[in-house]
Amino acid sequence: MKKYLSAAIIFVIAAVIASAWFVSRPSTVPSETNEIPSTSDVSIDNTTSAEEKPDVKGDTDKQANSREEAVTEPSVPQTEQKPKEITESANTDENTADTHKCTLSVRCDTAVANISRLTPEKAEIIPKDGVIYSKREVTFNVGESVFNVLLREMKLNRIHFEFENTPIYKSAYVEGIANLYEFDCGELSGWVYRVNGSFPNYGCSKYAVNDGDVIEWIYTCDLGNDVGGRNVYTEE
Amino acid sequence: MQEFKTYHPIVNFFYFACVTAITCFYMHPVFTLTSLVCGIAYAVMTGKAASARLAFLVILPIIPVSAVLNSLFNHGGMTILGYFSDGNPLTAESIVYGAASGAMIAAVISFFLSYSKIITSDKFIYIFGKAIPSLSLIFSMVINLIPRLAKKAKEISDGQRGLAPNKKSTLFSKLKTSFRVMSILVTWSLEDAVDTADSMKSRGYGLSKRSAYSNFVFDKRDATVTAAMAFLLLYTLIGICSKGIDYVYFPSFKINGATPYAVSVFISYFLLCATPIIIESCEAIRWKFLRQKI
Repeated sequence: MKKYLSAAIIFVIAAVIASAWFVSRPSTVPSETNEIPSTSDVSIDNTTSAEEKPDVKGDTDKQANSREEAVTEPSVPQTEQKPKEITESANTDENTADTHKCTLSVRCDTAVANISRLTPEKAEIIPKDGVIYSKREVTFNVGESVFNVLLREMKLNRIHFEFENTPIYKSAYVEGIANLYEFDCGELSGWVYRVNGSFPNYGCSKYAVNDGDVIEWIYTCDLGNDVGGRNVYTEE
Repeated sequence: MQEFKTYHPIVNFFYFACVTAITCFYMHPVFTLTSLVCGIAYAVMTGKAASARLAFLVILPIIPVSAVLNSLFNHGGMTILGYFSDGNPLTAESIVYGAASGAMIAAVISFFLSYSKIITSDKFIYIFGKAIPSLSLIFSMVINLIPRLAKKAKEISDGQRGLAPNKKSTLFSKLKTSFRVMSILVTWSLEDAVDTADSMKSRGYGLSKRSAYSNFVFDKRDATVTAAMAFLLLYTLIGICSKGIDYVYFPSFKINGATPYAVSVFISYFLLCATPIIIESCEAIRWKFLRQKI
């Protein structure tokens, strides 16, 4: 009996490894035609959901209500722009940017106002007038997102810039600009962006820039409430 | 060269507790470097060639590896050296921080190399046997587990080889043999655990009224060294808490200037770290003098 023990152990280990492999493998059911099924599925899903319910963030039981509100109650003076799918072949080369122009600025006025909440070493480095990147006209290529524009300009001007990229959702999240990071100024702080005076409700890598757009990157210390935005907690 | 080992267990433990705690919780680059140098020097003194090989092949390479890994995932810092292909910056601060944390890990590991040589399980049980009897027994057994298992595994495989000396060694037979050794080892370790538990219970381990014999005496020599270490520790801690020395890694790397007070704190921490090395050296010098007298 004992000489089968090693064989049994090998079998058990092999079975465990095989099952782990099967579990961890992405499901191949809908992938007959698509090469990268998960990515495209998710991105399509994201786009449609954002188009249908741009106002819904969180509370699932209020989804129907808030959608109606968005239709019936135009009290919010912001013009919601639907996200455009960023084309894969967007030309992001730095040299070939042509005649398309938009305006970009990066400011951290709220951090200056709440400078006591920053750590001393951070308080030292933020600009006292709150301007990290002064308002100026920049060129971009067709199909580029707000994120692409910001990344290129920060790189060109050697301004520190850190982001988190999640390729599977094709989403980028801006963590810090000029060493001013999210959560540096209290737990409700971070970077938000505003295009033509309104805060889009989706990620900066989803927002395709149009000619003449005014893009503002703003640091908030209170989930956007202190810079004229709104969020799921205050919006009732 | 095992003079520090003959000191009272509390002195030994106090030393390791101080240096590992300060190394772990205070990442001043000068402190980390001091800990690293003293830790590796003392590990080599206690463990000879084996520890030296381990220190230079495994422990020191942790530093560059940590620097590279940290710069890949951490992009904070004012000094931009270049850009990764995804667009995040490579900063000098992240490299420095990675190297410093790698040095911290390396220093702690090298301290524990000498710890295992100095604080044997009987000393550990002497220190903690009364306060936490079962936990200290388990801890000393866990510390001892890997070396014991390795020793026993070698014994078993020697025995197995002795049983069938002329066996052809194919891949399958080797696999089979190693599985048999593994099986025997597991059986033995389970049985040994039961034996140990029974044995300790029948000796009355952990009973409140039972005393245990130990040959450790806290004499004048121990008191002197403990007092010296306590003073150095206190001086260092005051220096840390009063911000006489300070450091910032992000957003830009800064340490306080080398004021006389800061230097005195560095020296006191160095003396604290080097206590056993100093003791060993003094002893070596004394031994030399004594031999010259003959």
